[in-house]
Parts: sequence; C-alpha cells; structure tokens
Amino acid sequence: MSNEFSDITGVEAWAKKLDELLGVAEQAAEANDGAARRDIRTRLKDFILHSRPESPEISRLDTIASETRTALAMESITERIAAIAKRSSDLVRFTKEFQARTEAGHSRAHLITLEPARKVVATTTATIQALKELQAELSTVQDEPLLRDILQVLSQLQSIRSEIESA
Amino acid sequence: MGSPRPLIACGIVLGVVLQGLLSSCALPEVKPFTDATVQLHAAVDISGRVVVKEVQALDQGQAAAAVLAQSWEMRVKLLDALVDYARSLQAIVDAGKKGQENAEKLGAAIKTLGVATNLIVPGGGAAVGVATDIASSFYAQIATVLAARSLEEALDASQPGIEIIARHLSEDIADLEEILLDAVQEQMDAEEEKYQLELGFRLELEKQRKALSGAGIDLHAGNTTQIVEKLKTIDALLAITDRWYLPLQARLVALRQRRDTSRGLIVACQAGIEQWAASHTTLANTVRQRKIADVDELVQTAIDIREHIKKVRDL
Repeated sequence: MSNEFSDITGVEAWAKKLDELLGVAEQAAEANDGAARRDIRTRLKDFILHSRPESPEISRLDTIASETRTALAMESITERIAAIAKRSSDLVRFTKEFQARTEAGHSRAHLITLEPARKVVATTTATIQALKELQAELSTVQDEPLLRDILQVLSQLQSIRSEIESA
Repeated sequence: MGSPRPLIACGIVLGVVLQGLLSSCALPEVKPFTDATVQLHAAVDISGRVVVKEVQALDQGQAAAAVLAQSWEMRVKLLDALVDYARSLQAIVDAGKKGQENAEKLGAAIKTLGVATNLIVPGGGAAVGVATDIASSFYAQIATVLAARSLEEALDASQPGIEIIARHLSEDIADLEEILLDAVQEQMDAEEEKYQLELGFRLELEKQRKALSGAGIDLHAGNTTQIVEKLKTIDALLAITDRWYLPLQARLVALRQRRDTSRGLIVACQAGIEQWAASHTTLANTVRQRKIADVDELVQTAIDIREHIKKVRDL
C-alpha cells in the first residue's frame, strides 16, 4: 500500500510535497485538461488523508490542499457551464427558426390535403343553393333591378366555379 | 359552357407533365427521423437534469447549478422545436398520402357545385363532372409531388441548421460529461475529507497491521504472543472504525455507480446526436435523389387518365 506519501516525514517534507502538488495543479489549470485536473485533485485529497502528524502546521497545509482542490473543481465546472451558456444564443435563434419552419410545414401540409379548397367549394355550393331558392321566390316579383343584381352575383359565382374547374 | 376539347387537351398536357414529375418522385419514410428526434429530446433533457442535480449537491454549487439549469432549459426548448419540426415533416408526407381521399371529396363537392349552378345558370353541368374526375384523379399524384417538393424544400433549408445544432449539442454534451465527472469527484473527495482524521487513524492501523504481518512470527524470539495480541488489538480497533468506514465506503460506491449510470446516458446521448443528424441528412438525400415512384401506381394512373379522356370524347 505504498504511495507517493509513504516515506514523507516532518512538516518541511510535507510542505515540499504540497508545493510540488500545487505546481502540478497550476499546470493542469492552465492546460484546461479535465482529466489532469481530476488527477491532481485526487492527489491533493490523498495528501490531506496521509499528512502526519496532526499538528497546526500540517493542518494549515491540509487547508491549502483542500481549498486548492475545491477551487480547481469549481473552476472546471464553471468554465464548462460558461462554455455551454455561450452557445445558448445560437440555439435560441435556431429554436425560433425551427418554430417558423414547423408552422410553414403544417400550413403547406394543410394546403396539400386540399381541405381549404374543399371548404370553399362546399360554401359556394351552399350559397348557390340558397340563391336558387331566393330566385324562385323572386320570380313572382316584378322587380327588374333586383333580379339583375342577383343574376350578376350568380355570374360571379359561375366565374368562381370556372376557376375551380381550371385549377 | 364551352366545348370539352380544351379539357381533353388539358388532361393530356397534365398527363405528360405529371408523368415527368412522377418518374422522379416518391415520399420517403420520415418516422425514423421523428423517432430519433423524440429520443434525443428525452436523452438531452434527462442528461441535463441529472448533471444539474450533481452540481447542486456541491457546497459551492448552487449558483453554477442555476446557470446550468437555465442554459439547459434552452436546449430542451430547442429540442421541443425540433420534435415539432420532425412532426411537421411527417404531416407533409401524410398530406401527400391523403391526397387521393381528399381529391375524391373535392371532386364530389365540385360536381355538386356544377349541378347547383346549372340549375340557375344553364350550360354548366356535364363537362364539370368530367373535368373534376380528371382533376381528382390527377390530384392524388399531384399531392405526392407537392408533398415531395415541400419536403425537399424544408429538409434542404433545415440541413445547415441541423448540422450546426448537432455540433453545438455535441460540444454541450461533452462539457456536460466533464461537469458530471468533476461534480461527482468533488462530492466523493468532500465525503472522504469529512473523515480526514478517522481515515488517517484507520490508515495508520492498516499500516501497523501490515508491518506486523510482514515481520512474521519468530518462534525463537519469543514474541509470538506479543505480536498476536497486537494484531488482535489492531483488528478490534479496525472493527470499531468499520462503524463509520463501511457506511462511508457504501456512499462512495453509490456515488460512483450514479456517476457511471449518468455517464452511460450522456455517452448514449452523444451517439444519439450523431445518429439524429445523420438521419436528417439521409432523409434530405433520399428526397433529393427522388427515387422512382411505384410502377404499378404509374400504370394505374395512365389507365385512369385514358378512361377520363374517353368520357370527354363521348360527350
């Protein structure tokens, strides 16, 4: 069970070891290497667990090791979160873009199903039938201008029908 | 109403045009892309949640967790939009397939309209029926062409965005994995640090025990009883430390397992992004290449057209 701390004795030797670890931690922080950072964090934790004896001097070294370890962890985490946050604005733009595409896609699909055209024809048919009934009722009335207007409306409907035919 | 000849001409022209279009048109299967998008949505959503939770568990993690949660919510909203987009593609394909049914309904409606107008304005009856029969027969195929074109336009317009999104999401997931590893390790280190003194004591006991066992028992030195007693004392002390040591180990194992499970999901999510983007590219390529439509369908369309033309000639 020997490790890098097995042969260390005395405050000075422990301080020297911590100094070495802090140097590695600095390099890992600069390199922005997640695995290297986690490796040195483990070594700092092991330093804390193995450092002897329990004295105020050693305790101070342990505190430095612990704070460095936590700082390194939080730095790594906040850096990654910042990188994620930085990409957010692009993704928000794409969210809007794809929402618009979805709407356009559904409108297109709706048109392809011919549903709107079918509704127009159905409405027009109903209107013509209603006007036919009106015309029958008006045939008994000698009102030339009114009959002329109705025939004009019917003529327009005839045009609509022709357009549908040629569509 | 005019002569039916223009209708015949119209029908022939339409037939030629449609045959040209149909020879290069078919609707692809959109479902794999829709399924991949739905799966990716779930994977991204859950991955984000588990990592936010791990960051929240850190003593100094609250603020960072809040930023991550807020940023990740934007990814989930994007995936919501992408699921809707995938479904809109499906709607276009479904609309194309539904063309026949609705064209028949429209044809019937136009015929009714023809009958209704003929009652009021004489001259608009029989030709309307033939014209609508031709139109509805063609429309079934036109709907397929329109759907294929709409699909192609939508896929082509979206492809660059899909590629950028995939790249961004892939980077996000890589960052998320690192955050997970960092956060869980920090929790494990903090757990062990809480027992710094106790662990130091136990390590010392283990060291002594190893030294005694390694020294061996020298019968001639007469220290056997002493060593055995020392070992018994160490074992008893180790057993006492088990009261906190074993639960600590169990917590560390649980953290490790949780990390591995979450990491598995994140790795799957990373692979999912790749597959999702690839399925969109495949779909776009399939539509772009315009695979040849079913021959039987084309033959049947030709027969229908001839029958409709015959009807017009017989008028």
